[in-house]
Amino acid sequence: MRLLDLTAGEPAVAMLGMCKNAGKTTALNRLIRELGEAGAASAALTSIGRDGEARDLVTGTDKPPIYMREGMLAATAEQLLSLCDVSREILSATGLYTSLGEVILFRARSDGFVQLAGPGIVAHMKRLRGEFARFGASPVLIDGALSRLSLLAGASDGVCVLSTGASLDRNPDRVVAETAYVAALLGLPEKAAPGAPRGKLTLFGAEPEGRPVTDLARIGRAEPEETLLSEGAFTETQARALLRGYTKKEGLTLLVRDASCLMLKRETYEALAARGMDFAVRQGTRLAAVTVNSVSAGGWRFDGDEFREKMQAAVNVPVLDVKK
Amino acid sequence: MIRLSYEQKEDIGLKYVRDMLDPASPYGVKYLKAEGFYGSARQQALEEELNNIALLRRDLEEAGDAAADLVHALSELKDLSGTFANGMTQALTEVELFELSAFCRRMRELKRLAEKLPSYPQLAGTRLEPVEDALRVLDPAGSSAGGFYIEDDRTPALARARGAKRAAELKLRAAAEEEREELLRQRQEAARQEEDALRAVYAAMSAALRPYLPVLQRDAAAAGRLDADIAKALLARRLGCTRPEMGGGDLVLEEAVHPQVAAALAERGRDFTPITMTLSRGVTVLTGANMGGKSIALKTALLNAALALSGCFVFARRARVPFFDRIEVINRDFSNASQGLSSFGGEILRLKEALENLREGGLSLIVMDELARGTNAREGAHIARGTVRYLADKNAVTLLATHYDGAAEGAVRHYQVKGLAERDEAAWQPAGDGRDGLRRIENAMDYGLIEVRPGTECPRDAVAICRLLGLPEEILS
Repeated sequence: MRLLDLTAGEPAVAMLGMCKNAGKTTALNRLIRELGEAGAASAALTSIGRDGEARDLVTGTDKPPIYMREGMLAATAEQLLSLCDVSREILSATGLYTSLGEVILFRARSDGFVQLAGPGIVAHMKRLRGEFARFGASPVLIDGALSRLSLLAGASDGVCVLSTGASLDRNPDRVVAETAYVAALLGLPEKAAPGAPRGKLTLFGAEPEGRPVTDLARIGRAEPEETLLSEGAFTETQARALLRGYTKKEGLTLLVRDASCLMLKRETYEALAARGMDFAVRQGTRLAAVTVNSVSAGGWRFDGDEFREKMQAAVNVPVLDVKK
Repeated sequence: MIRLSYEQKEDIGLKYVRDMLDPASPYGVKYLKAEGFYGSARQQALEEELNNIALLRRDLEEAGDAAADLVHALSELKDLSGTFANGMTQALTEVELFELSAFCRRMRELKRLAEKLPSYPQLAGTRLEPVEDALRVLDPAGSSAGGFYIEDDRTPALARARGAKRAAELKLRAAAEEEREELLRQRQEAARQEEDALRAVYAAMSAALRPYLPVLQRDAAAAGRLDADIAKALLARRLGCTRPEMGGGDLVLEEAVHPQVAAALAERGRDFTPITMTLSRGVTVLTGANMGGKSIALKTALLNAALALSGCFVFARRARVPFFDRIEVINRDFSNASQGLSSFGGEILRLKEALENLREGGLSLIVMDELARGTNAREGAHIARGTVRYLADKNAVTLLATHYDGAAEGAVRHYQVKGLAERDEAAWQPAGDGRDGLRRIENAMDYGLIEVRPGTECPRDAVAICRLLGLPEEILS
């Protein structure tokens, strides 16, 4: 199975990793290679929200990890250009700035390594997407970060690929459970707010206009269709208050801006889900695939096939072994 | 040299008007920032500037599409002053060279669009020089695509490095795992050589470009002036400003308006009463009721004179502005307190300074709002009268607003605010509350100016105003 087939036709593909050494860059390089071999030279590369890592690169000695193909476009910060060894034709100075200088858009005139640092603001990412479109680039591959998920949700209309691996935990079952949780969040359905918020928490249902909620523990037995709209983050404390109330939550949907607003431990999320509560986001992401890496940076490794199969059983998108 | 402090520019509304100018390019912003006042030494330059605005305003009306295209092209210019400066002394980077080639292409387009403006040949200081020489250095192949890339055949070293790199890359695409490391090593070595070769190319290009950088800088400045003057013409057109006539010894304003005050009044559904006055050498005295708009009249005269002298059209049906060498604003400035001066002391020192400046020669515009009001009425009136007499034969056009009787005796001209002249009965009833009173004063007040015989007694409206504002009758009677 190719990542290319799982993401075909998408205008943008965002790569996300559960932890360091999860195989995100390997997955990205694999997708680039598959695109190159399929003759899709018009793909474009950039990153979102990895200023910090990129800054380490300027001073550090990390090898450039992303290897792009001739003909593809890339956008990165001016100070990182000298770390790219791909032959390049500068196409545009975008007027978008990162802490490492202006974002510069270029076309690769050879294969080669690139260091990516793209915009860190939703509006800037949208403008960069417009610039890419001006040069006919598609799809746009975005080196993303889970910590910047809300940027991605706001700026990307494509799909995500989530990379995970043994580096996350010594216990394969825990890796599977944590990854499945994030995969579920990344796949939450999109839903429009039923009305304007009337505070941090607004309950829409019996009152179509919505009523502000101050005590989550006192939300009554859910009506057939109720939506709890949360502005900003929905926290552990709020979730526990909700769990103290009526046991059954069937028919109740918690609606947040995007998946990053659900700041819940996996166990808490599962407890709410087990009581029948649904979750939805106003700005959604779609998950196309999960990649697994059975080798950890710490030296331990899982049985590759068994690990992949366990993961496949826990998520509802295809799972690929990144090393195969 | 005309100098106004930031606070004075803000106070008289000059900042308000200049802030409404909205140039499209960073060079236009720079031009406006550096423009300053045109003193008598730059009469020719000021006439040219006003001429540019007049020509461009006509273009905006008669060739609006061409002007709009030009403004759009201006908006695409980036500020490359840092790059221009770098290029004079050092090798430029690939991004800087790209920016310069993009600048040249935009400048070429800008020149094409500017030449479509009917008045372009008559404009002063906006001639755009051709950029072809610089462009030939930056893009010898003459590619029209707009990207920046050094082709392999530029130098033998570059061709060799790229050849070796490409060979390794092609093999890498299909290489078996065990071959990869060696191929990557070969590729890395070739990439290093490519970088060295490119660095040499960039250095050679930068050196070849150096003689043409001054042309690009001049073009940037010319584009900045074109941009700024279009912005001035746009504002003049939008707000119906007129070209001031420059020169002569009298400051003449016909139906002058203060746009900032007018805008504030418009929000409350009221109109600004235009001001007509002629200020000649000597002192023109302005008297009138409290709340009669004396300070506004002063500011209107000041603002329009300052606008004309800073190369802008004015807010008046007609205006004639002498080439003043100085603008002296003398009012009670509360910032004096920080220097340990009373407001009275600060005001008198400003007056002394303005009088001393007269010795430098040239013509001063002096505007004084209620001179010496911070002291007792008898001595205050004495100081005001003395100042009027002193300035009568000096090389200064002075406008003095005052409440003091007799101050106008030695004045060259005397204006009075019409004030509560037409006293409608209803307006004279004591008010219920202050806010209501304000509205009634506005209704009853005629802010127009009339010229009276110098020395005509000041109108006595203060008690009436207090009554309208609702002060207790026990105090007033």
